[in-house]
Amino acid sequence: MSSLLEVSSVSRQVATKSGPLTILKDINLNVAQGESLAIQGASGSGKSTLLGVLAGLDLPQSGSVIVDGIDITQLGEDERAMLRANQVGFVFQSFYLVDDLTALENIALPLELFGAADAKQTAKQWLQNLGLGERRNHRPAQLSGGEQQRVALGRAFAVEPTLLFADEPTANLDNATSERVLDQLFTLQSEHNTTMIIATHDDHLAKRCDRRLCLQAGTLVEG
Amino acid sequence: MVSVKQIVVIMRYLGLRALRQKANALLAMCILVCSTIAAALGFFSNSVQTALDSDIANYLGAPMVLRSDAPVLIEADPILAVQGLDQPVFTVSYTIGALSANGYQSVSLKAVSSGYPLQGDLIVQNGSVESQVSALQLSDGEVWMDQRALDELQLAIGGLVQIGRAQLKVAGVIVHEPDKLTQLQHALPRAMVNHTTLANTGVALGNSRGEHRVLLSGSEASLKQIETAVQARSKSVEILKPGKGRHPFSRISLRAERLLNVILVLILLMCGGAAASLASHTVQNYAMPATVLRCMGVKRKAVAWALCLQLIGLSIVVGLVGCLLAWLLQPLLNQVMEPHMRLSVAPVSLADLIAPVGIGVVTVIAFVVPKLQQLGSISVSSVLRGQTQLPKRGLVVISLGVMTVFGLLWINSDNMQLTIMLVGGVAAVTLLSIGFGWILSQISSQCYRFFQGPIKVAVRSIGRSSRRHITSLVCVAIAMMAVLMTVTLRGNFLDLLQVQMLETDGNYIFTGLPAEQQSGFAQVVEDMGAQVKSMHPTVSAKLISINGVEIDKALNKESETREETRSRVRLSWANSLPDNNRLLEGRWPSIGSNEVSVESEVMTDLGLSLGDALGFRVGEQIYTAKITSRREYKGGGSRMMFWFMFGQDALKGFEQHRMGGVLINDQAPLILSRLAKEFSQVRITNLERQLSGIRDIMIVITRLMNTTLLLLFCGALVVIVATSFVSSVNRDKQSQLMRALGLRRSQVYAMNIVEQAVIGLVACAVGVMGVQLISGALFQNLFALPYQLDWVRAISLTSIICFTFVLIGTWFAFQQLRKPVRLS
Repeated sequence: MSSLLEVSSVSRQVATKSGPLTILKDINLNVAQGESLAIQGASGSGKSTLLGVLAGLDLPQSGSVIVDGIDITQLGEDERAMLRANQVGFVFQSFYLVDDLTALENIALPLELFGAADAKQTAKQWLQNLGLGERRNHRPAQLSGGEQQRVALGRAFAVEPTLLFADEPTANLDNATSERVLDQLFTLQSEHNTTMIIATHDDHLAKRCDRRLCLQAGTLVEG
Repeated sequence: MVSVKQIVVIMRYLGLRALRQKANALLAMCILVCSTIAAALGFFSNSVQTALDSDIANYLGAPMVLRSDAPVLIEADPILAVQGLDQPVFTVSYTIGALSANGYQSVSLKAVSSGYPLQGDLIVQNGSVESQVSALQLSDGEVWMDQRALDELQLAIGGLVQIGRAQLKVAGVIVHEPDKLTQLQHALPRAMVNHTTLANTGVALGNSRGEHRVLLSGSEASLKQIETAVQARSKSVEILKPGKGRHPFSRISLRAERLLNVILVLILLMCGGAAASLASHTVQNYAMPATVLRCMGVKRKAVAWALCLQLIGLSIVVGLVGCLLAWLLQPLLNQVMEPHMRLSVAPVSLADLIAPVGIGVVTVIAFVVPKLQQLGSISVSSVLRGQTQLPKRGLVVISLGVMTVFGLLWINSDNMQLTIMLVGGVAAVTLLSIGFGWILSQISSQCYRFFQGPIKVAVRSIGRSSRRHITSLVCVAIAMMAVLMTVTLRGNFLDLLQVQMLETDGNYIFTGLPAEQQSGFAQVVEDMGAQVKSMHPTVSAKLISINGVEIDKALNKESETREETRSRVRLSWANSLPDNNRLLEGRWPSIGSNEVSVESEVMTDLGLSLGDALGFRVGEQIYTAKITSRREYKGGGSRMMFWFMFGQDALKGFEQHRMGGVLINDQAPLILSRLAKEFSQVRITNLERQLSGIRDIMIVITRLMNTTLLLLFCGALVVIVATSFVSSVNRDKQSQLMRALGLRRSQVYAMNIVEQAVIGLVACAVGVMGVQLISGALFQNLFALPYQLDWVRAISLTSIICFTFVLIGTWFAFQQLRKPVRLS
């Protein structure tokens, strides 16, 4: 299988009052097309920072991150944004739906932003597929946590990303709801052959992925 | 390249929905109030200023008058060939003796052309009928005269009077003449003829010096064009119009205009402060959608611009709504002026809308956009971790905001001095607030131990979060400063003007009273139930030299004062500075010395400085005096003022007269007739009609000030609401936590009240300090008023503002505490 994501010698530090703090140290990683990878680690171990670097939201101090043959560390802010628009999707722990938009509009927003012809229709279809057809006109505050995360899944997959980042996608959900959300997440990933990287400290979730790595003291080790 | 389509989609999705957020709704409200007030004040002040100028023009006889001692303009003058100008009116006045079979009287003979007066009432009595007339009704060979002149000449209507070489028939008694009040110095009885009759008298021939006036009306542009042309041609022509020239109304009009500007600028500053306090909150609200959009791949500039344009669009819409509200408010505001001034609802032009809408847009651009632009730089991963700390670019944001506001204020007020003072004042208040905020936090950090329960938490909270309190402190302090300054200004302005203009010098002025008759005159006046309000010693003189050089040679420029002093000038003296004067430079002349104090404008006009020697011809003698002080004449009413004043006993040896004011309330004809009989040399002029006009104008200005003050209070209320909202949002988490820990609602209320009250009190104290810092200079330079803080007023306003701040804060707390506790 060819690698969609190649990470070499990535390091990232942040400045603190007591001097620079190393979050990521010499990270090397290859992820194949369609593979699902879990990155585990304790709270504060740098999982979210790593996801940010891989998605081009943050830049590492050193090393390269190659997505589909392009080294995103060499790209400017706008080019990285374009890459995210074309290839990357996100699912967050706290869902991060736009409060003022309905479920339907939350899914339609990225579609319309990048010129989909029938954004509303596609969004409606996604809601039906996710079992939320009846809830399309509800705003996030009127949805349960599980429903919100399913809408977030719809929003992420609607733009058909080749690479999906999920940051603790079930941490805010109870077990039963988590299970349902994960079922849908892995089904969609498999259907769309999406490469998926999940940051989690949940063993159960990590086990469902093709591969598991653990972030310890800024470096990745086999889980 | 930023994608326009993406911007449009973001605006479409987030557009009006953003108004659901309270902070944005408040921001919109703030802009709405700001633009409504600005538009309402603009419309209102335009109407009032127009009506006020028209009233003042009534007293000048025309919207613009050119005055000179030589006929600089003639009817066929090319300067007057301006499109939009009405037919000008020419008048000329000479001092001349009038002779009848039974008496002789010096009169001020005024020849007027047919359109006189262009504005204002000329009322002439013929028999028992008083009617409003124009000079058209004045035939050749006829004269209209003051009752006073007729009394002296023992004439009645139809009688004959010899003026110059012509014998004229008295055709009417002048009851009211519009431009009389601007010629108080020449308080001779009036005789009015047309130009043909004047030519027949021969008065205009020879060396007679007359006062020439051209009365002009027409379009604003045409008057401006003439003003420019006349100023370029000759410096000796004085231009009289509302706000310009030496006439009693010029300062009133100018001050009213400046006052409106000050109030408008203060309202803008306050609403800007409210917008600034809401800006951070608005940006926090946008942080999450902006982050999500950036995760989706939208470029950072597109995100920032979409949100900025959205708010700018919102401000335009809200600004237009504000204009509409202001337009609807017009009849209500106009009602305030009834019955003293009739105002019409002005039609709104596109130009009228630019300022208020622009204010909304600039408020957003100055205070919100710089912060929104920071969203483009915010770290996405930080936001995803729940930290929406904006990058520290405070200096850039503040500089941009200050520069924009400064520009806006300058353009709006058209007065750099005012702008610098107010912006300086706000800067001072901001710095003071920061300083006091820091001190407050230090004190509360130490003092919280002395308290118990919720109060302890509240005091500790002030110490811990000083940064967020500083915004509240600055905003409330600016509101306090604005309100207190305007209230003080209103009080001082009205008190001083009313006292000086209306009550001090009475409703009649007398001149030419021989010094030795002064006590007898006063006694008769008092016996008749009237009152001598003022009495000034005078000596009649001519200014002939400066530093020993003949005046014509000493001055190489045209000077209106030189022309005035050629004919006659009244010298006066006093043992100290009169209360309607202010010493700008030097000291008051010593008793009995050859020292003189000169009025400021005269000094400037003649190019004089302290120490110069002035030579006067008094009778047949030459009298030389050294200038020891420059003095300013305060107030703009009918009180007497003298260009040249000496120390007590300085002019002892010369023939002295007295002039002054008399207040006659009842039985005026009887009193005047007795005075005329017993003091035949004294000339008395009735000012009642003119004074009643001034009173009307004063009432109008008082009402105008009250109305604008009300609008200013609205602006202050907006600031308080916005600031209280931001404070309450900031306190929300703490309140929820306290309730979760078992505090009762009433205890949380108590916490809120303590916090609000402490911040409100400190802010008001800072506001009072701000007023103390800038008001002295502001009052002096812009309004020529003394500044004295009324502490009772300051304490009352502090209480009101503090109470309102606490009340509104408590209301917001009530809104929050109604909801169940949520800790997610």
